[in-house]
Amino acid sequence: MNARLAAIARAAVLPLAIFAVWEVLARAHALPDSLSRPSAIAGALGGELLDGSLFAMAGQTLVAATAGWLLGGALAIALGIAIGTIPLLRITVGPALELMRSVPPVALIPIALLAFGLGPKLEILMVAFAVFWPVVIFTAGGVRAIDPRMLEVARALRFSPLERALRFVLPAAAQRIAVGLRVGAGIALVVAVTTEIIANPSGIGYGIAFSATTLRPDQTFADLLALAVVGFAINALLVGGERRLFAWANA
Amino acid sequence: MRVLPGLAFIVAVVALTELACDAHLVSPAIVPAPHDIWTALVAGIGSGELWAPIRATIAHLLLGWFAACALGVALGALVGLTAFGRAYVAPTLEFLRPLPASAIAPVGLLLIGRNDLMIVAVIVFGAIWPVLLGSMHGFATVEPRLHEVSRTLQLSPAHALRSIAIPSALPDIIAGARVSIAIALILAVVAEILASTGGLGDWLNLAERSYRAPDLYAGVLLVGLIGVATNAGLVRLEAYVLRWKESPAWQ
Repeated sequence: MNARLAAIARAAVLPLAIFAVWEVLARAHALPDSLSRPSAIAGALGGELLDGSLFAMAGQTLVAATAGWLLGGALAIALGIAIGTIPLLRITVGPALELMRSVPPVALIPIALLAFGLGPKLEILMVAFAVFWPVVIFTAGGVRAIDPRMLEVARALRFSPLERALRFVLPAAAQRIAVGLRVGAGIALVVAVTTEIIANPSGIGYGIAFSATTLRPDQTFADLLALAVVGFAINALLVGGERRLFAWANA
Repeated sequence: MRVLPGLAFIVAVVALTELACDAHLVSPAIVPAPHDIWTALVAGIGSGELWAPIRATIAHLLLGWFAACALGVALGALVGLTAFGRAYVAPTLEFLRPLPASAIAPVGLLLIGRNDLMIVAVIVFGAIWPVLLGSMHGFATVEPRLHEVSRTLQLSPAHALRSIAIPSALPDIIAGARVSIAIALILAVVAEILASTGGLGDWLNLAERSYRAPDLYAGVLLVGLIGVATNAGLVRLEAYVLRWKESPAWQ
């Protein structure tokens, strides 16, 4: 435990040193005002925590990101299983998927804006679109890696295609699907925040963009710090959850 | 002829969209007919109107990506090769990595203003992480026996770096660089939308605001094309740089 505390203490040295130098330079007016200073940022962060606005913003972002992640993930798992089990589908749809995947989702925000206007629908569908690709690829890969003899057994036992998918294919490919969903979750947060920055006036991304354009750098940095904590927490949660869920597979 | 079904599917989707548009089943303001998109693309390129944004985006992308790779490899080597770096610097970098990179764009706007420097700076900040972490990991996990070999052979530090550390870290670095260029393209589009000083991101934004759907789709097509081309280029580069990996000399 002591070693762990020491590691945490060592990890804190660099950020504290940066904050200290930043604070001193800002107080000596050696930095532009747009860089704010750590004490003002801490004040803005405290204010946003106390009046609950930070929780409201983070909540909007997380709800949209989660909804889009679930929607895109579910559709992608269904298509991924189909592509992984039906070779004809794979060679037909595969190249189109490969092409669509290389279009950066942000380039589609203007199109989505035309089609859906501002609002949660825009953000959720953008997230769903972006999450879709990694999950499809990991799912199809996981399904293709299944031992074909297992599927022959399932067929010999006369399970219906739906039952085969749910009782054999899904559990066998679950670990790869989970990796896809974890990658997708990171993307979900990025796309939700990006949509908020470029278009949709809600959530923590809008908080960052709005405070930056209204010249409140203390708030911008406070929101950015909060977003970093959210991103870090989500990542840690997913990596930990995946490890626990699949402890049996890695043992 | 394995590409034939894939090609046929893409042609079928385009043809069906064309038919649906000609039959007025979808609003041309949201989904323009493929031939209108083609006309817009040809007109934009023919008149030269599209060349400036294409050139600007490619310049932002490559400049930001090169700088991110150079900085990422150098910083990753410093952190990965020294015990001090691994204990004191690595944790801060690990904390910042899950931060959605596009959130840094409003900060760039605040600190630097609306110009090309801000676009490139945002790309560098966001695209550096995969290279930095790949290089950090690559340099930190050099086979210890190779360090012993270099001591036994009394190689100079520069020689050891060139012939042992760099080749051993290269696979991780190149893998990071491939992820980086995809992120760099996303950030180029986001930053160009926010800066509105040119580039395909700006083109998309203007086309959306003035309801020029064919121009908008033509722009998305070009962004996708840049994504496909850069990814294909990096795959080739990876195969070329790592061609020696086929026969690992020391394993």
